[in-house]
Amino acid sequence: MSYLPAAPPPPPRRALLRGALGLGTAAALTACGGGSTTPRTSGDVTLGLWTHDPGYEAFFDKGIPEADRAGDFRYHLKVTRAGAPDVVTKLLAQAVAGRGTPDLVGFEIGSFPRMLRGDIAERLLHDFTPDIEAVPGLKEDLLPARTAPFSRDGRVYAFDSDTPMVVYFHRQDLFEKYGLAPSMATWEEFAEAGARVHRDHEASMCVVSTVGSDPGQVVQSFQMLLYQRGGAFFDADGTLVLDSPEAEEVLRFLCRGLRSGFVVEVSDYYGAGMQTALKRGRVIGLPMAIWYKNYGLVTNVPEQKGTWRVRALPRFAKGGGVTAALGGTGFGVVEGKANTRAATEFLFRTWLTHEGQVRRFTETGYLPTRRSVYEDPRLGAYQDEFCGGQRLFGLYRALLPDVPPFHQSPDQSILYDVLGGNLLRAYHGDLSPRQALKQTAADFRDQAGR
Amino acid sequence: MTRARLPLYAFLVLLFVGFLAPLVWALSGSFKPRGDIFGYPPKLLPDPFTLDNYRTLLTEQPFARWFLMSTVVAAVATVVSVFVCALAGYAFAKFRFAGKRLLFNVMFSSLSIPFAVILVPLFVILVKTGLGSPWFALIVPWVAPAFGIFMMQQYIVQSIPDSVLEAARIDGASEFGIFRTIVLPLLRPALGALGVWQFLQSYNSFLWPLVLVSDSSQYTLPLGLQTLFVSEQRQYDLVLAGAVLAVLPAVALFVLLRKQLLEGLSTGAVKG
Repeated sequence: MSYLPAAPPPPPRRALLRGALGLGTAAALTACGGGSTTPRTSGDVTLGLWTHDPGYEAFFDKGIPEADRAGDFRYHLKVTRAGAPDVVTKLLAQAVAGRGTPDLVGFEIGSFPRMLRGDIAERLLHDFTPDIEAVPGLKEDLLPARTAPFSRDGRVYAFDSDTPMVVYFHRQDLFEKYGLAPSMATWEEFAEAGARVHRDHEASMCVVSTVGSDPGQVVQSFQMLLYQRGGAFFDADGTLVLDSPEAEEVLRFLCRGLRSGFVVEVSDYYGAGMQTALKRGRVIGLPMAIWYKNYGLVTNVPEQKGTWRVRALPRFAKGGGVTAALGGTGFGVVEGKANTRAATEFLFRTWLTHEGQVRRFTETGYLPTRRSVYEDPRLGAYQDEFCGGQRLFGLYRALLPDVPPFHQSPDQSILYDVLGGNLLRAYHGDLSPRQALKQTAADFRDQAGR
Repeated sequence: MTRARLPLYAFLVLLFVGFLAPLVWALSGSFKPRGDIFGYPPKLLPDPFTLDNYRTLLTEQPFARWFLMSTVVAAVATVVSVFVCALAGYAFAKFRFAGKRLLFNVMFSSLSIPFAVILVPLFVILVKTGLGSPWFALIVPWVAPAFGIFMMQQYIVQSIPDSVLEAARIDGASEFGIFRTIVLPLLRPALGALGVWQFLQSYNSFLWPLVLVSDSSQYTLPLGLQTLFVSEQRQYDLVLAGAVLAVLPAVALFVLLRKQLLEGLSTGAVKG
């Protein structure tokens, strides 16, 4: 299969002039035209890469020989690291100033909605749609659930780093010790057993984050189960669809769990609160995205290696799937620069190849975003030592059809702010789940103006 | 110490412990392995004690370059700004010129504008005028702070009588000579206080270097330390070690200028 993206787009200045809309974004786009925009077609090229995670830097660095062999460029990387939200702030400021924009940018999923405001993404980022279509079979192979968060109006602006499925992490040793049946299939059964475990052992089997200064983290706990249940925050058009029976059911479930002790509040999924709860055996299981093993468990409780296991989420009795997705980082290319074509080809020849996606998992722990890669025997043979040598890929393959799409809205940060506050009020019993959701929808409409 | 004052001292000691606690926790945590930082029950003394965090920070991260960048930029910005503020404050306090009141009010009202508002325009101006190189541009926003000019103007009005300046003029001193030999020495306590404030402003600045600098080797400390906190993989061990080292210049400056700082905040140079 050839990984040659579509031919370079027409001169960007013309496109920019055609679409001159807002003053701010016009300036941003003019920025892209700063310096020479004559596309480089071969030879030495140094790509400016901005990322918040050194893991990606290492991945792309190792991918250079593969990309060099596959095309006419000889790649070099100049990497800039910044915090996830800072990458977008910096990109927009540099674009407005007309200099210094990178060629390749990693957008943490929660920061990407800022690019969806107005026509920023359309004008600043390269649209990969024609490039995808130019590669036979690629469009069908890419998981739509993972192009959705980085798309708008049918255009794809970034490729995700992961299929961050939500699974159920649990302490196998304590599950056995507390006599928890391995066959519990529904959340309702889990909650019943969880109340007993909390009463007898002061341990909890589910977690909600209540760190007030981080609405995104507060929302995560609810978001995972909501999407698993079949609900959503926004639909494909960016319209708020949160106020639904599924959302009410999930929030009621969490509130009831908090009263019974099945669910416990922690101040921070990644820091002191969670580490203490894990070390003391107060938390013996939780639903979380697969990357939490590396960022939450291995980091906080390395001594518990071998005691953790992964299983599919229990179902809700009334419906929904057995997984959701949480997180991700999309890599995009800045449009209208001399290196736009080179950067696009680099992405296609490292990030999106079969080998690249296998390497992504073995080197960073992120699941492929292409269906066919899940059949690779090397991944099937992979054993996870932290999870007691468990072969996890069979599970991931089985969960794949249930991964729901996650559509983002430019006003997502507003939703997170208002939802975070109302979730906390519901958890603490100050609002009923119904009231909390209605209030959230009303607050969102007030602040977002739609 | 009288018995009546015991409750006051007890309260002050408690307050002191409260303010010191985060620093002590950071210091203790910087000598612990990552997995022990949030251990339960919490231990004040690291066990095991390790220097690995500092070693990693200094050998595997460009910490020394970040440190140098921050310290040099803050030092230059402080020296230049203190001089500019004294000069401008002197002009506002002791000279009459057309539009003085309007200019002062405009300058004063700029105190209410958050830096984030002028961030992008300032950046664009510097880039378009070709002055956007990091060494220069990192210093520029701090060289004429409205707060500093206002502070100097107030201090000069209250502390330096016109008669002193008039006597110097009668003796034939030039205006800049008067500023250099009379005004600046009398301003020393206020300059010390402003210097400490200004150093910390520049040293702790995050947003401006974030937008301005793209080369990681030219990062300032706050920016560099932020890169250790990437994604959900929070390297508390390295961040705490970095924070402990980062606080050293500020502490050293405070110790060196403590006298001037306290005088500047409490008294005038010349009693009227």
